[in-house]
Amino acid sequence: MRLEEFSSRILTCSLCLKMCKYVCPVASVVRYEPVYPPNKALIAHMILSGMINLKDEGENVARYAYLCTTCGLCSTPPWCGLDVRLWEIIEALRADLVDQGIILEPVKRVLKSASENRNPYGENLHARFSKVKHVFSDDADVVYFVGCTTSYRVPQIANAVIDVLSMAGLNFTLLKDEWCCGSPLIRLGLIDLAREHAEHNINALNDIGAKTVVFSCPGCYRTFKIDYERLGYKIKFEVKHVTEVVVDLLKSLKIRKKEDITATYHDPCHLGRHLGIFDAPRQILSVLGIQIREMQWRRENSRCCGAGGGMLITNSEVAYAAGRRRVEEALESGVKNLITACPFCRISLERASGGKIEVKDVMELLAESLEER
Amino acid sequence: MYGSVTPDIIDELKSIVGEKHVSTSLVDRLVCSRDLWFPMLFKTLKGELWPTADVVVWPGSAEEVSEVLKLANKRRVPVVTLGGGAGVCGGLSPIRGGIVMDIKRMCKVLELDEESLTVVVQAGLIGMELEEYLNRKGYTLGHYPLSIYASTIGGFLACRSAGVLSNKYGKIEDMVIALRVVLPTGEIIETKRVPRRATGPDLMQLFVGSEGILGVITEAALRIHPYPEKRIFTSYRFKDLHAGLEAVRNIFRRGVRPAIVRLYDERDTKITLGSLGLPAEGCLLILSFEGTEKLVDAEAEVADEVCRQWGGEQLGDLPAKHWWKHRHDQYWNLPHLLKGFMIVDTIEVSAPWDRLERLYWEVKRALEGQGVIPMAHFSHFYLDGGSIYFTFVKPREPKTPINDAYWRIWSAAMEACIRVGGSISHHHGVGLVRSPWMEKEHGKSFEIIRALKKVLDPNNILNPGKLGMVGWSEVRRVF
Repeated sequence: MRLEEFSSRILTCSLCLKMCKYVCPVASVVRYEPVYPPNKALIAHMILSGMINLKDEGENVARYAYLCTTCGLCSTPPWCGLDVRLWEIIEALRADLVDQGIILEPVKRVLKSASENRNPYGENLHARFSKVKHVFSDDADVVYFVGCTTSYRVPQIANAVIDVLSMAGLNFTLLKDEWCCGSPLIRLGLIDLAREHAEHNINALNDIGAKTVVFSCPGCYRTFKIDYERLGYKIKFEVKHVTEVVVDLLKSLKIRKKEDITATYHDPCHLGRHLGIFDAPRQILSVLGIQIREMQWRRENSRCCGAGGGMLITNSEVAYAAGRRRVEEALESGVKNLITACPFCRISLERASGGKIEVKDVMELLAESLEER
Repeated sequence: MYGSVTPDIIDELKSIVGEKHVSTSLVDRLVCSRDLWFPMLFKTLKGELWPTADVVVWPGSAEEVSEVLKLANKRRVPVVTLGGGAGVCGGLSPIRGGIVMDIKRMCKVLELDEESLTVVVQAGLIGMELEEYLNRKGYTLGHYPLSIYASTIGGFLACRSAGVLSNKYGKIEDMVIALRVVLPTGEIIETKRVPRRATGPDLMQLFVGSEGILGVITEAALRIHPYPEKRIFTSYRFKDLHAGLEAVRNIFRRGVRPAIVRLYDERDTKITLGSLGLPAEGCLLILSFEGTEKLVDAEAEVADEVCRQWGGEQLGDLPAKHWWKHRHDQYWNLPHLLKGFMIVDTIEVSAPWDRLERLYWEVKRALEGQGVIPMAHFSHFYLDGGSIYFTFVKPREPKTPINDAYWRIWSAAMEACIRVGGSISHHHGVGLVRSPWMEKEHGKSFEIIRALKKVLDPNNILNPGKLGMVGWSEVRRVF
């Protein structure tokens, strides 16, 4: 079992005194004891030690395994000082469940869609860039990897990125044969399919001679930067989040400041806690003249929007409820604008906002502020 | 004899709380039947099953709790209430099976009265959820037990919990003003939300510390305080424990109420100060003061005067601030010690000033007699006395079953405590671990607790066996 690799950390978490309980965004909504983070490790320990078996208890285990955004807040100091990294355990548990044929219906739908259309949404592969400005260049060694969620659900983020990079004079291209990066597949436990996607994307990027790949989706970015290597692939090109790239290009952009806006910034889990990018998006907002009022739960301790870890697919109502909680926190900071840097967070927070607060990606704000050169 | 949880009972439970809020799965039953008592953690380590309930229910209101209890009472099925599951005494363990009722769905703040400074909350709210809500509104409950991130308001009340600021704000029994409780027979009772009254015995306090054997607490009204304007920290070193205790006793006599008072014995001081790279002799005292700025400054000044009179050496705010910032870090050692098959536990006891120091030496000697090297701190004080918190670790003896060694340690400590006239628990409660000593603790008055249990719970369905309702042999049979 994949869980065996983590047996020591699983036992450590099972024997701990549960100080992470109150920070879990999912358990704050679904208040069942087994949903709380250390009890998910306990369930994994019970499987490994033979106290329960997946044949009899598979469905019940799956119910809890998928009630997690894999946001990692529970495994972050000061809530955890034991380097448990529960999200890795959850992903291994889900993969084990899939290996044993215990596959939830929404996961089956993703499996089918990604196998046939190379995206998790059941959308047509060939319509991937239908709402995205076509920027294809044969001589560019910088590639903007758009991602499924941005392409199909929030293309305005992709178009904002394209506008900003173009006006900064960057020679870049989209990847004509882009497939889902595999992030939702890995999060849901569909590892074999994720490998297919990783191989395809890496080959396609190598074929066009990519030296730098830029992402606006932290999920895709994390997958390329961390998960591909965990799956056994070495990548030759450099990977960067678009905010990191843009921070260096700000001087070459003519910006109309938005000084009348006061906003709060929501750190996406994958971009912030998982990859350590906290400052670049804030620097962009600052250059735009936007006043930032920080939420209590920010940076390493940012609370999840609720959509991560496949929750939007497997437990969408819970995801939205967690999102509403995050929106309430934003409203408490007394602002009318909630900015993030992730298409998933943007969708989740916008749907949870009920129109009470305007939700945008930092790249949309930046694109709106650009003056023609 | 108890009735079995039959399929028709499961169906009735589903009709009460809704189908999705009932589970008979082994996963749910195991997870919801476990607290953080050492023998339970040890079973976890070994991969051994622990006693489980037959069914888990998640009620959403006092009315649903009432219907569940009416059904359980009619069918003679035991019911155990689960709050945060962070107890360390085995109080949750459903040793007779039956129903585990997880109350965390009941998690609303119902009313904030900013004029009277009270808050009414449902019992399933986690401590820090309430504190965070209050802080946002400019208030504090002042209740910061180390389990604040895991325990529920109901759990605090059911176990008479104490927080690290208890010296100023009191224990949970000092904070509670009124309760809504479901009795074992299903009636819902409410006590009146008034500051004090003279209308007979305080029935509310009957349920505080009842550990789920007399009723299920579903709501509580609690006293709150304006969020402190100022909080300051300071630390002193005394040549020995006696000097430190005398300083604390006299601080309280002078009318000063620091929020945090922690006096470490010499071994604990070595570890605490040693970890900061400071000379580790003597006994460390940590103090904090909080509240209105002028009062805080005055309290710190008086306390400083008293500490110096008793030979206290000012160490500045570093040790105190370091402890405050890292107070939860001690938890990170526990899993590693357990994985090394160590016996690890804590015992907190209390006594009036005239016996407090003797209690320390007697319990320490008793623990040492069992091959244990204990360390201790004194952290909850009153005008009339205080509590001592022993922490101990003991390597496994190859030829002795670990639970035998564990019970010998507890037995020695409890008997020593009773001999000196201290109380066997200050704030962790009884559960199973102290059950064998409840008669000795209470003397003849224990009969009243037994009688109350009989009157309120004639079929003995609520958390059977806890709070001294089960004898030594049965406790040992299970653990």
